[in-house]
Amino acid sequence: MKVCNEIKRRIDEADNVESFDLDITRHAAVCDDCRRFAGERAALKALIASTARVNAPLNFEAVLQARLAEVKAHRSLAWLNAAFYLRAGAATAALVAALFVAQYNGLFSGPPAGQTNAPDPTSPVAVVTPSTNPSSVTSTVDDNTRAGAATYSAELTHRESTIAVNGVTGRRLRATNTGRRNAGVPLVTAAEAGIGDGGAIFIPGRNGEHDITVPTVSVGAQPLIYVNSGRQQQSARAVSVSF
Amino acid sequence: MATVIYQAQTIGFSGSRSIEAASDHELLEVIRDGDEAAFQEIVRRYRNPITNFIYRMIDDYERSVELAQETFIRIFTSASRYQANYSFSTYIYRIASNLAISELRRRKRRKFVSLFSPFTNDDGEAVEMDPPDASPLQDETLIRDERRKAVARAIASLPEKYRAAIVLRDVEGLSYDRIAEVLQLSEGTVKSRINRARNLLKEKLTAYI
Repeated sequence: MKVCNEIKRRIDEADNVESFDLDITRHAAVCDDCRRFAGERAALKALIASTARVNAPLNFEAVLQARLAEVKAHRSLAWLNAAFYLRAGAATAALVAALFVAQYNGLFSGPPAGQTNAPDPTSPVAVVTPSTNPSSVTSTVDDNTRAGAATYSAELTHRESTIAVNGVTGRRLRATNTGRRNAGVPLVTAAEAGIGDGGAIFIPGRNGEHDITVPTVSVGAQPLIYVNSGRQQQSARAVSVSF
Repeated sequence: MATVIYQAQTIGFSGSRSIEAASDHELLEVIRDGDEAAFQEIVRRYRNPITNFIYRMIDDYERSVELAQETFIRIFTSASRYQANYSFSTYIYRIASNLAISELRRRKRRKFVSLFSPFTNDDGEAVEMDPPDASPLQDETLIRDERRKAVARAIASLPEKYRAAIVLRDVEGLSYDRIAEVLQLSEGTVKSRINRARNLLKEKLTAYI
């Protein structure tokens, strides 16, 4: 029986049902079951092969050429598909993000109009001392310093004063803020905030203990303030304000 | 049909050579460059076998012609990605086989209700009942026509995984290893499927054997 199964398997897999290997032929000569199986397989293969093959219609190539032309035309306009708009949108978003980062880093906040050039670092430099009075800016400027450089340095000093609140930092500053809060007055004056020139301001943190540096960014008519409380994990959030 | 002469200076063969003498791989090389004459030669060589193969798979002539054309469109549009790891005929039969199987599955999802009530085989797959016709046969032409239809029906009623294998083997005459490449199966699996397909066909076509 095991031999018959093996013989039938080989008969079934044979490429040519007319000529088997010698051992199969010898076995089939003495085994009716295997001989009948070989006959059935041969008849079945002949039956399947006898069915008429269908051919492609006469207009097969003409229709194919028409369809191919359609596909080519479609491919030439493929850049107009949804994927194109997706890529264009992604590129625009990347550009906007790059512009925002550049603006955030102060790339576009140069000196005021008429003072487009920063002072030459090799030229005599204005030495700036932070002032304790927010309304006054004290600068020691060399006699040879040009007027543009002096103004620029004064601006830098002003910004520095808003950051350091005129040199008052740490506990003293917090004490000042607490006093102002209790008195119901603004914690940061406009001059301190440096809003006029788009500098950085201090506003109290949520717990009243943290001072937050808030660089201001104006986008169109809606100014946005991105708040960084100094904690690395806290992400920026937009605060709607109106001036 | 007009003989297309392959121009060596434009498509790279040595000397002026009939395109009909070029191998499939050589034709594919120039189809990549957009050569339409080479593509037409490929179509001429394979349009009938591919149409017949798909027809045996889906048992619908109009649709099989459309799918055969789709096969050639895919050959043309993806010629640049063709890699000569297998013979070209294996490649084109694989595309045609995938298209035919997709068509069968799409039809299956539509859930047509056949007058031949669906039964399930040992694998739990739906199999249409096709009882052998034991009535006496009258005329030779009618006999031949009836036999052809019976074979077509019997093949069409096979589960798709058996159908592709048996058509490639017994209708198209491919070897087991080529079928294994086309269907991306092991040779043993192909042999097993063909054996089971023949056993099923033998039951359906008892009256004609």
